[in-house]
Amino acid sequence: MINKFSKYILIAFSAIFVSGCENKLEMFNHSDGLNFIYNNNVDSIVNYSFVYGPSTAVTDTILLNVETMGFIGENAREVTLEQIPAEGTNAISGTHYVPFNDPTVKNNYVIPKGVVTATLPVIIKRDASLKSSTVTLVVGFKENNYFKSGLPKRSRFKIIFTDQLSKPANWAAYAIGYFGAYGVVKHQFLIDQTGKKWDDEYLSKELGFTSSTTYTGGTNSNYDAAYCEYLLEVIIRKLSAYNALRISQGLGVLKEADGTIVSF
Amino acid sequence: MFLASVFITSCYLDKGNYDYTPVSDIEITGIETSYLKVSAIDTLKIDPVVKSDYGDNLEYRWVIFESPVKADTIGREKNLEYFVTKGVGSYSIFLYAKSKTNGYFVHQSTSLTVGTLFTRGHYILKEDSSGNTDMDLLLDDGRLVSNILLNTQGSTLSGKPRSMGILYGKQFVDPDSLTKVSAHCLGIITYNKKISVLRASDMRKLYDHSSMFFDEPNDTPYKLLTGLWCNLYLSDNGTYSSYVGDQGTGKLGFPSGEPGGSDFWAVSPSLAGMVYWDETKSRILWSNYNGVANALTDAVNPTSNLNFNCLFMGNYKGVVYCLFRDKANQARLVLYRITTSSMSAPPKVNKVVEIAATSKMHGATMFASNQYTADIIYFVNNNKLYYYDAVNNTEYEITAAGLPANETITFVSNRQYNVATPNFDYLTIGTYLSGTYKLYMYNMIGGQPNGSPVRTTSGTGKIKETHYLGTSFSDFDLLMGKRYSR
Repeated sequence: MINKFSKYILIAFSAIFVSGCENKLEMFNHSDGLNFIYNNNVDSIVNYSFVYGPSTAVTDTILLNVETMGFIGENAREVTLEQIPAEGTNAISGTHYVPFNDPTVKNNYVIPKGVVTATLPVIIKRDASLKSSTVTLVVGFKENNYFKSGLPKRSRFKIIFTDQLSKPANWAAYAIGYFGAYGVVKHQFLIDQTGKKWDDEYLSKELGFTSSTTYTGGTNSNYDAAYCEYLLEVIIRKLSAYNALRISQGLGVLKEADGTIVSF
Repeated sequence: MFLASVFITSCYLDKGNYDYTPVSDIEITGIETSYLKVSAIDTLKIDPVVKSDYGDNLEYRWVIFESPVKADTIGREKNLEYFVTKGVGSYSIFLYAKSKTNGYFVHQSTSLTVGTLFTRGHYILKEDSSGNTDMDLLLDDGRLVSNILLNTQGSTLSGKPRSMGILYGKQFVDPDSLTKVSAHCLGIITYNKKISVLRASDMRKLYDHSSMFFDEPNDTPYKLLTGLWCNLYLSDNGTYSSYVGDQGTGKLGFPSGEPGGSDFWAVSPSLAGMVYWDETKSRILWSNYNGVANALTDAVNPTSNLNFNCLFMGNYKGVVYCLFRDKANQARLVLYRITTSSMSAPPKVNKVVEIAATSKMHGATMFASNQYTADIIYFVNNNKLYYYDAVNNTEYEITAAGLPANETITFVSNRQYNVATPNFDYLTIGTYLSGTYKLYMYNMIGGQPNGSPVRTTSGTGKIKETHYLGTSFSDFDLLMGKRYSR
């Protein structure tokens, strides 16, 4: 009898301690969502100009990388994109880009079954207005039957585009340090004199400049100080010769549209 | 039963043995703090002294570390005899001595620097029997590696040797990994305007004149050297520079500052820059620690549009001497004494001395300065060695013990190096006789050779210059007073 009683006591205490060790886990109950994929905030912005591409091009495609949150879908899931109002001149649907619900592109906005990432194309249009303006298209996700909200900090993608030269994102701390403040006329002069685009790719791959607005992190492994100093000297000499020619023609030194003298 | 289990601990009897027995210590001595060896040539031998009460009851293990997580065992005996197979670099070596009885162990560490035959020693730039350029290397252990260009590049460098310079931390794009790296290099220039920049560790050619610029200039090259924190190239276009060790391609753009240059230059340690002669504009230039060239100006003595030919430039500490011959009066020699006081102040002409008409400097064929221990200028006249006392404007013949009179002196220079071991300050004399050179290195007292040469070697050809290549370089060391001859 004593043995039996002791056993019940032991079992009871054991039950108490066992239950005390239990850490109940909650099931994932968040709705499936979508995020844009970028490594940092800078990646959330694309600066594009049609001037770098073929002169006959009437459209171009910006690719947006997205990822899903939640369970992997057993079927293809539609993604609904929407334009978010932005500061500056907003791109006009149908004029500056192909509407996201246009039948020609709508079928591209799908997360295939069994995958968690996809690349979605946004087709921008070379409208005549872009010759004299720069427009902004901020793309976001609209909730639908498959996806609700994702991470707020990864819910926007900004495309700034034009048909004229525009300031590359990598014209930042180091580019300013070497070549001064950005200007469209300066940019065109650099293109004309060097045969290079001086766009983000050139600034990154050839000169090693990043979009950092501070000198910390302002360069990547492609940076070579001696080359940048050499190039700067080349350009200074070319500008001097160019200005001398202009002056001899009565044109004055090279200036931006607002009258700022182009200098390096 | 439950309550009993709760109180079990209180019935525990501590039966631990607290009657400790002292463990005998192990003492390791006889290991130097560092060793320098040549890969695939040298054997590292270390015979440590181990004192303990364990007698033969010790086991040993020598371990070499390439990194904290990469190590190899290179010995299991007390004495190490390791044939060095590691590549060029620095390593840590640990000796562990462990008691077989109780497992007690101690360790002692040292560092090993592994070089190749080419990473350290006196490089001898020479003219071969065909009038082209090659070089030999006198190793610290006395061995001579001969005809290095011929044997590593397949041919000598076309033309007579003009100059050589050590380029510490020279930037380049590694031809194997295509990454930007830096390494100690040799820069050779010939009178045929040929340039070869060679990585010292393996004699791989990194640059020549056609590849060392972003846009190759048509210039006359004079000298490659390392300044303070810049690697410099001096040509008649001016001074080009790239930073030591900075991760770039090492290619050169445009000269900085005033154009011009010549074979006559001096490096001032206090200026951390150069003073040199501009042959084209007949003026004296100087460059700062960044290699930016400026024209020397002086309110009293002319420094530009000089109607002179420059015969020599050299430094004694922060003083730069410039010896000129007047073009209008060939019998007139003028010695400029230019002082440099700091990195931030332009050099100044301290005084200008007219060399006496009776001086044997008038017929001298070569000159050199004592760089640190005596304010004198060496010169050779009629194959005899003299020195000019730049303080008292007097001159004396120098007797160098063991220097045969029948050998023609082709090279005189004060060669010094105290950045690291070996620490030396030699009066170095090169001679030539019947296709063979001899090199004599003398310790000095007051700038005079003291006794017999402490190092000698000989080889084929005619010596143009010698330069000591060390394994370490630090601009901080130079700022702190360390010196080496360019």
